[in-house]
Amino acid sequence: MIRTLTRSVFILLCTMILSSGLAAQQAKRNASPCESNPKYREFDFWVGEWDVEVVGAAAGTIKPRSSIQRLVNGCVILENWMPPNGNEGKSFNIFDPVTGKWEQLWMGSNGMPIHFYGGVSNGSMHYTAEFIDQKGVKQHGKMTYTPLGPDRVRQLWESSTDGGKTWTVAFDGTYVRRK
Amino acid sequence: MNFRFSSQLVRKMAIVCSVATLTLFSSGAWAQAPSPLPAASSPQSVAEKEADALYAAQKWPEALKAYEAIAAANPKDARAWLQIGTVLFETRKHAQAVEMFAKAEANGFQPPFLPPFRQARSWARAGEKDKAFVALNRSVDAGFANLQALRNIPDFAALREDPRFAGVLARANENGKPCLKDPAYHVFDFWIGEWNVTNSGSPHGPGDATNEIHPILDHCALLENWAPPGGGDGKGVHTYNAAAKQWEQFWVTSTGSVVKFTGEFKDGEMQYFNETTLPSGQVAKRRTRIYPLGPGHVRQFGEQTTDSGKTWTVLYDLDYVLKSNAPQPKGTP
Repeated sequence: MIRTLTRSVFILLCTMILSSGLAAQQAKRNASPCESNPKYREFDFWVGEWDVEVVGAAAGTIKPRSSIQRLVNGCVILENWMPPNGNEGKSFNIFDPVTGKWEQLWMGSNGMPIHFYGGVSNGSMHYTAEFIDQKGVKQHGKMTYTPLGPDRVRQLWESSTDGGKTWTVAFDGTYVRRK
Repeated sequence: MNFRFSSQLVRKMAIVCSVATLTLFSSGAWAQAPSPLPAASSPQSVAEKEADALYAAQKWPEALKAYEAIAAANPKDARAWLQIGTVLFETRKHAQAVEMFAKAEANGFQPPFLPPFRQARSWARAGEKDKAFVALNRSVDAGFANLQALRNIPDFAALREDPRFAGVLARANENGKPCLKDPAYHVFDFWIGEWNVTNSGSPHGPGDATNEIHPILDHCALLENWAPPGGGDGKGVHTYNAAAKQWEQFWVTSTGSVVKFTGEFKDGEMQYFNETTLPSGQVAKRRTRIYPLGPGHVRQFGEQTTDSGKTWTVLYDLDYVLKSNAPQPKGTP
């Protein structure tokens, strides 16, 4: 009978410990949903410190730097674009659980905010944007971020002013991780 | 410059162009490489392509002939005039170069700051400091913003010694940072600072917290850093969208939610609005007003209506006091 009691106590204790452990885990997940939800982690391949090789820049030029950080308990991926001429830009990248889409708010030093929307497929981030620029022209943008191994990411940004019939490259650069 | 792109895309291309320009002007290459070619005409004629090739190969007499032929066929071709001027400049015929740059300007060369900039270089090389400054100032008036060029081009060495140069640099810097002086981006400056915030509006609203707001991107946006002592941080980006003529707020919290507002600065207040669907299915319109109550004192008042504005409920009533104004605890020296 003592053995049965011991076993019951043991089972009871284990259950208590396990469930409080699970509760603690769940509490932690609830407190930091962006850390534990894999959806918020899809763009982590872009996080880090980078030198950017811009297509069209001649050899020997100072490369722009970019610092991509996770903020707000992993809910925001913040881009800090730092070219040598000082015309910096920032973007906020977030996953919006209501729409199920990723969104980038890009702000350049000229003050025009651009909203991109999209998501990750086949390992790459695909964003699109539509907006009217300061001159009243309707712009379409498409932008992809593609990891090329653990230490390189390519960003290709194309724009169209004829509703998507023809596209021109607005930015083509490869981020190389700083060591 | 191709004005089919938004100014932001132009900005990124300008970065690329500036970087390309920088290459020609780094480590002693400033004096040696010819001035960069302007953007190709779109569509580009065979004649222009061939003239550009001669220019790139530094075949000056042939390039000059080729560009002159283009200008003869089309006297309004501003780019051809600029290139004629540039060849003359590269071959040290400074006074003639200045005249050709004037022709490019008169025919509407884009970007408008380049012909006067090359005039400035021509005059500087000819030792004509005063004329160089006149041209430089005209270039900056037209939007010239390349600080690297101003600081590094050997042609301007003598000009850099002159006290007038500082003014040119300052204005070029402002050109590259349009939000610094544009009043539209400064209406919200009363909210900049570090604040202690107390909420008196609603027991269900946010608790007390600190909030810190500062300008980013050369004053083109404000970054809000909301930090309650128990966690639950949030960050907000507040920008003025000049194309849409509205303020926009992008608010993210550490629970992963994203909230957006649009609004305007009106009657001394920043007034933000958005619409959201509540879990009940009702559409709620929300209004946040942020305005100064006095120096170092701001109110942020949030309300919601579910009956199209007939009645409003308070979501929060936040009282901001600048931290530096906070009363010191007893015993602090």
